[in-house]
Amino acid sequence: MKSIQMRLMAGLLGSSLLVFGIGAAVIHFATRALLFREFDATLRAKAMALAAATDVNRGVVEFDLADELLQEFSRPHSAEYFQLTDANGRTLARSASLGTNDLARLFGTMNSPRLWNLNLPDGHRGRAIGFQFAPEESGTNGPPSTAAAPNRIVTLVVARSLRDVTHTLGALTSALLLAAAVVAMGMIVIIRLVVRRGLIPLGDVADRAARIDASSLGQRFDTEPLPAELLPIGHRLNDLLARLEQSFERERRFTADAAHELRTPIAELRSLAEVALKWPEGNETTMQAFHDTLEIARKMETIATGLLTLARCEAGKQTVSRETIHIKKLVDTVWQPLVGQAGRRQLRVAFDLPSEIRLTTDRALFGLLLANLFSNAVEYTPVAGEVCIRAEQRDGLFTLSVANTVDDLGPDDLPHLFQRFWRKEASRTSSEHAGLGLALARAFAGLLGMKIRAELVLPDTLVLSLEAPATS
Amino acid sequence: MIEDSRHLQRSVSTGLRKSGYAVDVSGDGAEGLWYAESNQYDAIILDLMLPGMDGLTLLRRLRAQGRETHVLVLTAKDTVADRVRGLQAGADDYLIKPFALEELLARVQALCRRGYGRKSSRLRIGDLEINMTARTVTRAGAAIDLTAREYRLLEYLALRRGEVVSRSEIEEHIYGESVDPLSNVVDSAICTLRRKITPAGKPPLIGTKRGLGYVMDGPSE
Repeated sequence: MKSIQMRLMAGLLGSSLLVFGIGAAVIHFATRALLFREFDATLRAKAMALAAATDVNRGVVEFDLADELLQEFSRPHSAEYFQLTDANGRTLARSASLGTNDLARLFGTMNSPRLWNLNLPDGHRGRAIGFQFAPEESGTNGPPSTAAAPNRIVTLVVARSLRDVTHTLGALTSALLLAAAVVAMGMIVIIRLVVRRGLIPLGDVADRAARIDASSLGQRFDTEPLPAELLPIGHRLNDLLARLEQSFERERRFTADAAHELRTPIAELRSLAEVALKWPEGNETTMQAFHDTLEIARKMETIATGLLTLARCEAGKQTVSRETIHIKKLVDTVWQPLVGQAGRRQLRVAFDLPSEIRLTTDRALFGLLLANLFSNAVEYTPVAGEVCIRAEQRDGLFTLSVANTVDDLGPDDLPHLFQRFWRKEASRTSSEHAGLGLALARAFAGLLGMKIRAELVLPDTLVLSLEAPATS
Repeated sequence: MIEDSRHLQRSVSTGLRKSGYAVDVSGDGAEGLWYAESNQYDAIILDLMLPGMDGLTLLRRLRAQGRETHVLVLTAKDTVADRVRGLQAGADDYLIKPFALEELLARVQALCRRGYGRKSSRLRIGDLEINMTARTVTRAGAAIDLTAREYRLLEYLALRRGEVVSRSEIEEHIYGESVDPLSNVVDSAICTLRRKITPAGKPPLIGTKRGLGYVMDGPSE
């Protein structure tokens, strides 16, 4: 059973019954010892009374028992027995209750008599006391002669049924068992209540957890009222919620961004197709429509791949494998595809790349990072503007910067530069750029453990710089 | 139409022209505002994210100047807050991208009609009836076959029933910038239209005011 309540109940019930059982056993044995001690004292007193009633009169052992005392032994089925034997084992006297049976002739001295358990002639368990003594001379009042002749020594064995003791102990055992049953039932009820009460906070946590869904991930467990045992669970749940909220937020942003950014190209495609279908034209217009379609499709592709890459970076799913990279070579490779566009826009491009600079980083990701920075510069530098790409390594710090002239960027725009889909001018919608380049660059820099910064050097130069610990 | 997406400019303006509208297109907010200030348009289709000046600012400026030109905002911004902001800035209608061209045309048509204080889509001048939804024309129950441009011309004259409509107004509304000022394209179009809507024995509905323009009205009672 995997229920905490059941386990607690079973454990508590078992252990409390065990404790109760031990207590009951102690009570039982203590009572038994007490009863036996009293029994033995009574037995001994009776034996002493019998011994006192024995005397020697002119060499003959006489047994002069008071009537009321004798009566106890004389009933045929009385529970008390005695037998008096001489040194040779001949019976001098025996109780009527003994009939023709003998009692075992075991003995100690009067001061330390022998005590033992036995089966009585009536079949019951009994207990006997036996000792040897020298009866007093009758008529004399002196102490019994210690130097008595051996033939004067007699052995007295007195036995009594243990029936009363057994009954008492039996009653005690029954009472204890009954008490155990009552205690067990009481414990079941009490433990149930206590355990239920104790588990209420757990149920509360479960209820609150059950109420959380994708729309309420902003909620947190109030850990204040939680008991100490549930506090770690509360904290863990809150951590989990925070992580879930982050990843849901990423997903939400992705879908919202994708939906919003794809609206315009979809509208373009749709109206293009609707116009073409409604007013079919000659070959030239149709070809133009196909060109437009291709252009729109490319733009949608750029948006989709850019967003997916961003989502992967943010979710930390992009793996980074580092190697040592020759910076100048990598920059040359990445710049190569942009040469044509830079030429068409008449950009003046300058490189300041010391050939000895090396950096340990992920080649592919760093290449993509540079590609985004470079194409941003080529795309948004005004026609005939300047672009300067510079790398340096100093004081254990590697820096790579891309500076380009800008014509419409203000200091207020800098914080927005790395936001996805931020555009200073909506006119950028018409280019193939989706407004994701710098957002991607920042995501890549984050993955590579680099700092990326944008600053405006007045009057008109934007500097995007990357910083990383240098490779020694 | 003030919209910075080249593709949308091309396809929507084609659709509008094919439907008989004269269309000016601008891809820049500031330029668009200049167009809107310098012409009497029936309706403006306005994007919100524009270079030069954003659509909402343009709209507020226009309204601040007391211009009542009907404006349909066409944008990718789809939240309720965006729509409310657009309508509060003075937009008459709001359409979210992507859109159905048919819907855009219908909304533009409704806006144009409202420009002439009409809510009904039917115009009746004498026994001539123009159904502006179906873009059909009948006279005395007989259907008249018109080209899109002829229809627009007829609709424009009918909407301004009783008013003298100048030749240059017709050029601006029906032909856009594509008219050579020296050509007599308006005169010949009016001539063709007159012929088509005037069966034998019926009174002409379009009159000429020498040196002023044309006027359309039903036969005087």
